[in-house]
Amino acid sequence: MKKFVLAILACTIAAACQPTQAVRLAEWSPGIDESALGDAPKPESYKVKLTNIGTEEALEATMSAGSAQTISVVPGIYNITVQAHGSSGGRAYNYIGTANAVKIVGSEPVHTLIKVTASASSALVFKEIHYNASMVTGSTSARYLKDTFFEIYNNSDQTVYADGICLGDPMSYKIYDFKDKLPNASDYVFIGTYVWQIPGNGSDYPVAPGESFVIAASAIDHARIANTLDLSTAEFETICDKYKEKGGQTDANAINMTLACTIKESGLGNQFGRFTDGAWVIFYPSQPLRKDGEYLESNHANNYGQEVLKADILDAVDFLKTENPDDKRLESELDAGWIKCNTTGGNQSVVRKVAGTREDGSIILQDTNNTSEDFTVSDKPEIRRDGVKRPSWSTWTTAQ
Amino acid sequence: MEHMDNCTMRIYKVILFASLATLACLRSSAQESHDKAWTRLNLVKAQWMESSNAGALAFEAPSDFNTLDAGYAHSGGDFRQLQTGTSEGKLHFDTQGARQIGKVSVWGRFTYNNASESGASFNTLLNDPYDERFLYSAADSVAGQWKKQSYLMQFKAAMPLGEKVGAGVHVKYTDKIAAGQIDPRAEAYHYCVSVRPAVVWNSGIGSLGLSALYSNTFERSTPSISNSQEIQKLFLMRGLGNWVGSQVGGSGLSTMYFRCNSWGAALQYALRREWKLLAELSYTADRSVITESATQPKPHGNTLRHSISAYSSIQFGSSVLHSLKLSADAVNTTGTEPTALWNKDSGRWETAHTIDQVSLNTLRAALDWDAFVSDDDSYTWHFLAGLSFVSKDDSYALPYSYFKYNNMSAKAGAERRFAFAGGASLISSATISATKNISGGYSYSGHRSGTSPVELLYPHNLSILSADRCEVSADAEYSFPAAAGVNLALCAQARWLGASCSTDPGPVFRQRWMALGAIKLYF
Repeated sequence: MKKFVLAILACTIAAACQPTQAVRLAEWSPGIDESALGDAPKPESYKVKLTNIGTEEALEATMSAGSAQTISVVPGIYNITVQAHGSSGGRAYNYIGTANAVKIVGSEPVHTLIKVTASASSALVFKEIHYNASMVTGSTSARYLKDTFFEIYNNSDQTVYADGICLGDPMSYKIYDFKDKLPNASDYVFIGTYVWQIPGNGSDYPVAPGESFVIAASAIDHARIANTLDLSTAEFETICDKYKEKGGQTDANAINMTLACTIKESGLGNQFGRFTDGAWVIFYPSQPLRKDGEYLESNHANNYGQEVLKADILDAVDFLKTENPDDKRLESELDAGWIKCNTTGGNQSVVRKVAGTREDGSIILQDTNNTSEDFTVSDKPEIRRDGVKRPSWSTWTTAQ
Repeated sequence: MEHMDNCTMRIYKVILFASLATLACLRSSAQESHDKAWTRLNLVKAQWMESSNAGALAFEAPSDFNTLDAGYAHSGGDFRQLQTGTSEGKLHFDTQGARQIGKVSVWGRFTYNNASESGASFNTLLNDPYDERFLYSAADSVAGQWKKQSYLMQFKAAMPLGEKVGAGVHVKYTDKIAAGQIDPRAEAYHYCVSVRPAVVWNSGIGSLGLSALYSNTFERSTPSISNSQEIQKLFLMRGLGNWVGSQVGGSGLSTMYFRCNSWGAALQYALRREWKLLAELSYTADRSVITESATQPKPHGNTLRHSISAYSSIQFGSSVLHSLKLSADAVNTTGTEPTALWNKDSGRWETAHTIDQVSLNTLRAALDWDAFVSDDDSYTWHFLAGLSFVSKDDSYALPYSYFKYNNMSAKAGAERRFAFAGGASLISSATISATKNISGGYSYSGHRSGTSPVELLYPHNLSILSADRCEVSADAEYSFPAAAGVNLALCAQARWLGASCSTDPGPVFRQRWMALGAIKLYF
């Protein structure tokens, strides 16, 4: 009897102690392909960021282009970003290369060659964006949707002009495909709802270094209605004849934007196509925009897009509604990261970080083409924070 | 809660059916009345009832009996894992009975529970947040309220196939629903059906038994929020504090599906001399798949659980019946994490990579002794004592983390039956148990340091599970004949536990209590 019991115990304990198959680190060795840098100076080193898609763990390392280096990582599927910054001849450059869904597993080192491109930093960049609305004063359920704004800042040391600049929301490159409709479709992003354009003859709206202009859904003092901010000094608003005809929209003193494209009409009260999620780009179109009714249809029926050359894009940001990077709409070459606010009514804004200050006291904003790193979320939306100035031609306010 | 109400109605119907069935048993049962002591001894002597082999009931079934138990229990206190409520009220209804119908021995049981618990956190989706098969679930740090209902129906049936061979089957069906009451909330529907066919062969060297198991478990849980203004963040748990982010609301987490298929087999051996021996060795494998969304299934993780159990029981003595039980079981659960990528061409999630990150190991061993001082078919005294050992050793492979503890427990108790004139009896008992922690610890080295699963959930649960503690319980049951062949019993039970929990600033004393009142019928 005793032997029998001991035998059973021995079997049980032996089974319990069976070692599980060991999981070992995998090795990854990056290679940097600088053949596409053109005239841009080669940076001394790159920052490499590996994000494990499965666990969301991010690893960072610094490496030089010519060095042989291996990085030990948990086996998995990774999105990899290689970035650097430099300057030459008074111009700032961003270097970026990406590789998505790289499988780094096994006992042999995985080598990935990443092609890096360089672009001069844009003068005009998104500085602050309020896109997730607020709550009507005294209400716990009524959301206030008209306080959306985009503040755009001249981050360079030269005066630029806002005339003709367009604002739009790109469709997800993962979902919508136009390759059968357009040669070299991969050179474009496709706007899905509206394109709003700043009017002007090319020199009407100069923006000096350290100045910003604000595009508001409605340039009024919203703080009188909701728990939000005063936009009565905004330079531009997305009010046009089409919306005035529908009523309910105050035409403030701000300059009315031109509704250049209505690709897909939205019933949203901020005259933009999206609220809590969506990507946004500002661009200067180098080719004519299509007329309404002539937009390209994607691989998903009744989903149309206005093509915009990636080369025309001045700045791009990717906002997600969830923490899931799979929902990213923009390719990494336009925005290597993303950011997320609370749900609609959360009255939050995303604010670009300050990287430095010029001798004249004006700020220099961080611009690495990576929203995850360049922006933070603010619980108190504000225009022209950090002492940023209005353009010289912006002198009005809209009294209520 | 509309579904909850529908299900409540369904459960009420089942209760009604069970009650009618029980009444039918009552009419046909023998006109002798029983109490708790008789019923317990009846089941103890039917040694095969504790095994997974129903076939042996063809030769050794308990005497005909029926019981009905309805009551309410309330428990509360701060000695709890975080997924358990600070207080819980539970209404229960339980009825079981055994009968010999011709050559067929039948045993059946129906159990219904209706529980309401408050203050539970780190469980967004599941009926049972401690089910290691479903470790890839969602959690949130909001302490909320749950309403849970469950019913379990099971029966065993066995008949002899000749003089030496018996065959039987044990079928179980469990149905549960749970509804979280505070955002992020969820409605969870759970069912499990299991079938255990078995045979037994009587030979000169004893009885040999073989049983098999197939079980299918399914749980569907849909998270939601009632306040759409506030999206709720979730942790999609990956084990030992690792998680990936998600949310409820917006385009966040949709319906989760937890599926498990189980297979198993068990071998039994019994010997009847002046003493009775029963030994069993069993193995079960549970393979679970956890996915999100039915229309676009997204894999969240798989688990594979191996369980090996060994159990032996020996009974001897007549005026004093001794029952000695030795049991040990080892459980290993491996958790496999997938990395899923959306394939826009096929329009589906595809698993690009999997990695076995989690290993959960539990080893239990227990030695229990019961002695019944016989009084005809009942007993006057019942003494019990036991020793047990629990070892938990969980790990996460990369980056390496562990959660482990080893506990030793001892218990002792006594039960006295007072017989009164007219067939009435009072049975009262008291039990004391103590647990001493031998070792334990939680170490985390992943990238989620500073988050609540790492800083709050696992350290707190370790402090509970590895606490030195003492528990005392007492109960009393007074039964008396209510009709011919029917004993009505009034039962009260109280339990208290005090523990010294190791926390970062220092030991904290925590306690938990439970009080129960019930009415029972023996017939």
